[in-house]
Amino acid sequence: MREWTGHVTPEWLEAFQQEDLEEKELMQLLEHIESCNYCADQFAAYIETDLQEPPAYLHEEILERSQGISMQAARTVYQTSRRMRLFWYSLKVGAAVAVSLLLLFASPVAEERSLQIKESYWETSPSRELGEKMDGVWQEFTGWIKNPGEKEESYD
Amino acid sequence: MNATEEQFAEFLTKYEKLVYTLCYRMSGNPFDAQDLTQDTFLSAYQRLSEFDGAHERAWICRIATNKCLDFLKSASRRTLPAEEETFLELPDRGEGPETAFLQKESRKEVQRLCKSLPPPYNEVAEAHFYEEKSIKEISKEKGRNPKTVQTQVYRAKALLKKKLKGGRIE
Repeated sequence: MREWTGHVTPEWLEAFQQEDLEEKELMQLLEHIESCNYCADQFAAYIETDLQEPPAYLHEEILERSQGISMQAARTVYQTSRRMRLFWYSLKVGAAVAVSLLLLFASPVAEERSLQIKESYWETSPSRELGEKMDGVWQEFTGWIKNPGEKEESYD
Repeated sequence: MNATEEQFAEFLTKYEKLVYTLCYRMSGNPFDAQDLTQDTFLSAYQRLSEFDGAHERAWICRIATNKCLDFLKSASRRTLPAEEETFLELPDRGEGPETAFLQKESRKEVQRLCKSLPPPYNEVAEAHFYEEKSIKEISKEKGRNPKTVQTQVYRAKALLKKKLKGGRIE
């Protein structure tokens, strides 16, 4: 398989012209051209060196179809749906900005409130009481080890 | 004709050959090439209002490539046209007389295929695809309703495509 360097090269164009590209290579080439203005222009310039004549009726047929009612309706729908898509996109972006601002300004207040809640919880938490009792028992024990004869003050 | 339609008509005149050649090269036959060319320009017409006017040639080439990619990817058209296909490849660059010869041979093949269709499609197909007469001209000549002629042309095209792919027409 040919090496793909990221853009169309004369080697690839020549291979295309000679129908020397494998199917995967052809797909890779066309998928790139579909999305790259520079390579699409190079490709077009290459094709233009040897143009085929389309049938005489094709020009008129295309013009007539473009002016037909169904085409006009499809065009209106496309333009409307594009405007609607832009509108919904703008709404989403606006909503995201509003929520971000809200979080930005509301968070210090929320933080402070959260801290108050934590402190009040800690004051009455059963874990705190247990922790303090354990602390007292440990201190009594270590005091007894240091001075076995003396009785330590109770911390209850 | 309003400004958009005029702009589109000029655009079509400017790039019709380029798009047709590209589509012919991708599809391997003039019938699919005509359909793809039409789809390309109608898609461009829809999007004309949002086109900023920069890189015109690249823009239309990208739309045509997109249509050709869809065509190639569709289930029944995964492979490139095989050698057994009756329509000839584009010739090498710079060989003028050979190009003319190959185009002439290709047209003879179109005529042969059109004549092989069952009536009433054979005469309509030959008038349209070989003699390149428009539907209006054919309906005037034959004294038929243009809608009838249009339907017959569409059906003839479908039959011709089927024949090209080696199918039988019953």
